[in-house]
Amino acid sequence: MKILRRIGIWTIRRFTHLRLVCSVIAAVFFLAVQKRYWPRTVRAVFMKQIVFTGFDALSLILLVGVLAGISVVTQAQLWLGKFGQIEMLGPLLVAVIVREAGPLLVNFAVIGRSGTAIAAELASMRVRGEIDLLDAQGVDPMVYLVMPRVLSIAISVLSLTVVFVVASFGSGYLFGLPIGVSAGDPSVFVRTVLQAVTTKDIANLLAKTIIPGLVSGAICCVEGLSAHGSATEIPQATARAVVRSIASVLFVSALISVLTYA
Amino acid sequence: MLESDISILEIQTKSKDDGSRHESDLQNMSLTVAEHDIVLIQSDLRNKATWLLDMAQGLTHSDHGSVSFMGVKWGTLTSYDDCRLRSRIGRVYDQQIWISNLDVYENIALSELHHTNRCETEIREEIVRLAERMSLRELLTKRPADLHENDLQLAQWVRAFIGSHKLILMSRPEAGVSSEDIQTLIDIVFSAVSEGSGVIWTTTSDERIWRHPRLNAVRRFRILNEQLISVMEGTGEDL
Repeated sequence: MKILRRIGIWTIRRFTHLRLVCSVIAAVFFLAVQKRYWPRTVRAVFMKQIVFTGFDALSLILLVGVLAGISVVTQAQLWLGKFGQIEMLGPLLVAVIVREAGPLLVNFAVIGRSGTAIAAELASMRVRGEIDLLDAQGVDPMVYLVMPRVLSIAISVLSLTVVFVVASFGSGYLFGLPIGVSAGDPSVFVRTVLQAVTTKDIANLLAKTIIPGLVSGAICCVEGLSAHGSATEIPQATARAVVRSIASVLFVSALISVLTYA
Repeated sequence: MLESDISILEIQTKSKDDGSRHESDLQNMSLTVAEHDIVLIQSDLRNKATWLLDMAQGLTHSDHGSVSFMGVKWGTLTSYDDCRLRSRIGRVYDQQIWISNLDVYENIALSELHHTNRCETEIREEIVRLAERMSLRELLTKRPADLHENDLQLAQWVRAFIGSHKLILMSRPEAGVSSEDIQTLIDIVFSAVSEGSGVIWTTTSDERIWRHPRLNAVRRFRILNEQLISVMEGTGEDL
């Protein structure tokens, strides 16, 4: 009975947390579509977050994209060439890079780089009483802190995934040239890849970047703002945010794959 | 003091029939602050003074009382309108609370930039003008963590008085500052009051405030035994 009780408590807690995250995402949408919730202070925070989460992460994503391209795209060209299946190159690369690896790796990179920073920042603001100060000034923390951060993560993940895909295809092709596995004409490579991209792939890419971006952004904000009491809560909240964000990204990605391609 | 009947703040609390008591609550209290009004409250119990100011701002609620600010009861509006209304209140806190990732200027300007469409240059000029009176101008670009406690206290005054607040709540604004600076504060308070603001000033037993000649004519109260007791103007004696 004790085990059943524990399982029950654990399940209720998970569902409560899930409901909270969903509420935050719904609130973000509700606020974001209304002009009155975009005063200049919120616009400034949003732009700062886009620069921090998107622009400043470009070099990291380019590096990861180039390395992924060298390993995945070059390997794919090499082995498909050996088996005389080079016409499968486009579908294979789209399946691996565009559908799965790209969105997942970028989501993980953004969680590691920006999600942790957001959770730690909000947790320390909470612990120091800064959230109460905003409240007392009539500045709604949901509008000023949460909405711009959640939206910027979702937009950045989408943009960075496009950069990642282009970088990995480009690097894979270029690296394959000197070792003789890439086709000489780059237009052939581009055409092979583009022909393999379907509407479903584009919908999948959008869903796998925007939805997990919103979810991980909301989780990082919720975990950060749930800290209270002492400074020791800050690393704990940050760790919880990372673990839950990664788990959610994996779950949401798998769910979208099943819904799109099953 | 200018006389006015236009009430900015009304706080009413009753005694609790069930005998329950929260350690910060004040019972059987009635306090009204009108335009051009200064209310000086002496309390050595800082949590009660803080509770009173939190309640005035609609940040805390009492089951046994109600608070109206500018004719509107806190909690009856939407969250958006609540925030808009709260932006009409300036406050000096008992402790130093600042947004640590903004500099002092950004902290002071935040509420005005968020709630109004005033030109930023105009806001900056107002902040600089007020900061200059307290020799704070060079410190505006620094982070709050880099400022001395006394300078932060002065910066709190700028934050509370910037813009067109209808009500200004102050928790021991005189703490840690020189008598010369207190004179500046009193000048600023009277200037805000002459423009129609109401002020609640809570203090401990600081004689520099309680016996200050310019504050002789203001309404005075003491918090004693969970009661807000009126004190005769100019004498410092309980009624």
